[in-house]
Amino acid sequence: MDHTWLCLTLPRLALDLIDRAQLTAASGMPRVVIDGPEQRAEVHLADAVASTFGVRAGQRLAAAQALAPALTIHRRDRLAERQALERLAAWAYGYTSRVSLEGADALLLELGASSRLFGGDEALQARLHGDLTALGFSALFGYGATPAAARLRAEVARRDPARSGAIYPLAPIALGESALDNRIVATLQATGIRTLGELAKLPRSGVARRFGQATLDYLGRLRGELPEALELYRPPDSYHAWLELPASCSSTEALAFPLKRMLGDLCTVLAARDGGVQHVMLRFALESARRSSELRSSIGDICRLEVGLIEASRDPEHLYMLTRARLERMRFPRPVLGIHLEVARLPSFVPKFQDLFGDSNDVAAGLTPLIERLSARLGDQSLLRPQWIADHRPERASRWRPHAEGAALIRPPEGAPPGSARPSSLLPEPLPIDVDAVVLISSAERIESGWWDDGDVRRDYYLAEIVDADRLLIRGQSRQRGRASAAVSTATALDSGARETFELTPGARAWVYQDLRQPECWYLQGWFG
Amino acid sequence: MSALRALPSVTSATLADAAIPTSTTELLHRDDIWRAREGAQRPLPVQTTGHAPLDAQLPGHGWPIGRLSEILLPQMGMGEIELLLPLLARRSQAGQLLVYVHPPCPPNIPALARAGVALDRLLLIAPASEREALWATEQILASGTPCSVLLWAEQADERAMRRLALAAEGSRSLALVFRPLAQERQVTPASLRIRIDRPLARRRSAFSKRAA
Repeated sequence: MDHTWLCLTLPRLALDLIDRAQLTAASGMPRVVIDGPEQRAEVHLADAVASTFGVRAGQRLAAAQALAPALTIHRRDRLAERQALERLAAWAYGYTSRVSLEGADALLLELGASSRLFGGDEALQARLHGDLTALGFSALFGYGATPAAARLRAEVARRDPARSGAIYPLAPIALGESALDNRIVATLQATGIRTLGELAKLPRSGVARRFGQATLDYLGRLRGELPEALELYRPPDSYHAWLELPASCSSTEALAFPLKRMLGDLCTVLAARDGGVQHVMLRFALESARRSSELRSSIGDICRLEVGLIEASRDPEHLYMLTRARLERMRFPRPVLGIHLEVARLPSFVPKFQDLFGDSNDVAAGLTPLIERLSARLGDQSLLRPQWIADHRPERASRWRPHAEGAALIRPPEGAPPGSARPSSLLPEPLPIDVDAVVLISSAERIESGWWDDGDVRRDYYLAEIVDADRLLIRGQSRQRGRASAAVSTATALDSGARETFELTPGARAWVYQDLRQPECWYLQGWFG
Repeated sequence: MSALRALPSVTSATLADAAIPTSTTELLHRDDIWRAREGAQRPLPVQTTGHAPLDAQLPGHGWPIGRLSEILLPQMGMGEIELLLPLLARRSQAGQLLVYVHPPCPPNIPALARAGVALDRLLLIAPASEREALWATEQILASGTPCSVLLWAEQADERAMRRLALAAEGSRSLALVFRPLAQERQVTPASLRIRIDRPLARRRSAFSKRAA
């Protein structure tokens, strides 16, 4: 019989999770995870150091503290354990489509069908081991020809970790190790039946009558005579992960390690699903001003961080690099208590990548990573692409949209472009000027448009040359007092830095217009750069 | 990069050997070494600007590609973009990205479209500070993607310019920095420096310096 079923147990799950969230490598202090009500807390799990002090699972916390005074105590987080198990199920889904969650800390995998694909049983086992180590989980392996047998060997391995992954006969296994009801085991032991082999030798009808049909069924499932209905894992359509930091932390550098872990987990799931991710939402839960022992009520504000990618990716390094670049620009007003990672949509397959410029050569040339790097550091609002709108009003014809919004529609206006000269740069907003400071050097071009919307204009446009730079801008109306050039550039709105060194100079060619509804008002709208 | 250009003359040598030229003759074949006796340098890779009088004035009779160039001007509106628009349009039509970094005033899209710029290749980068702008420009030049990058820098010091010049070298990109006239005193690592005193429509453009 082939041993195609694998039962993976995670006996240290609670401690593994704490280690994974740790900002630094574990110190040599004894640690325990406790469970149960506050007054009657019991040790759920003790680490190796604590075990040397004699701390054991099931001990009362007070007893454990007496044994190891320097004990670090963590409270068990069942929700996090469940989530971790589900993430592992998603990881296992990459190896087989038949995965089921077993209790609080075990997974059942059917590997018979995929063993050849991954280069045989041993290669597959090494791979699983490697993955789990990389993910930061310590697991025990139990193989079996049937789910029940795999579970049984996994239980044996829990008590004797040396037998993890080994194949040995089931007959000598003591009844106490089996999934049989304790009462029945006690009755059997009282009659001198101590191992599964001895139980199997008993006449079936007698076993059914004396120890119940369930006992017989269990033997049947162990031997594969009875089929077993498993509730198979189905991968979710979205991804959520929550990580509570062991200590609140206010510097973005300290978040690097836990973030890397979270993104690594995400990528494992993505790899298993053969998918990628294009948008990751991170929420940082900040400590509230009022301190509280309950985590939920001690969370104040939430800081959001969105990471968008041009191309679906599941490379943890790449995701981490982009996240870090964005994180570095964040300032947390209060310490961070935990991180929530959300991917709203997991694509079911590797999406055909759609390039922003519709040209697949860009990717080969490294343009996509470049754009991602730029927008990660500068912010999405700093990378803009043009949009040409069919409108005669110059300020409406030119639009700049964030690059991240995806391929913008560039639809040239119907009919021929305007016939006369157009400046190569355009002020986002026209600036009022003194017409005596310029010389008009072209004939007028009238633009009259927009009576149908709120932007009705009637203007005569001229090409003008500046003759008196000092008088050009009407100071009372310019956005900023002081140097005229500073006023020009501040009004560009796209630029927040002070511009001091480019100066308005006689001779520069500008695009100006007269507002025909208020003929005394002249405006500067662009430069013939 | 420049060291590797010595390779063709030492065909049998390994890469490591080739990186250290063994004779003066080999050294003299390098692009970045020139002899004063020869007067002009070996020609740089150039592309025609589309203005014959300008091409005639430029070293190598075209705009340098893969080298940093700079234009000193008092302000926008001197015809500085129109000067290069035919070249920029041609490059964008060939699929190369045209990036405006930190301009004092964003480009007028219809005007660029009329000049033949492929709008789907146009990108405007409006960072919060000039430092970020310099960083972005360096990233673009160093990415290996051939682009046309126009940067407006006002406080860039010699060190920043040198970083850009290094990134531009061998990048197949057109790297152009617009700087205020006041920075003419600064030593420049750019291969080409043009100073515009008066609007170019009057055909008065002074070429002041050619640095190595």
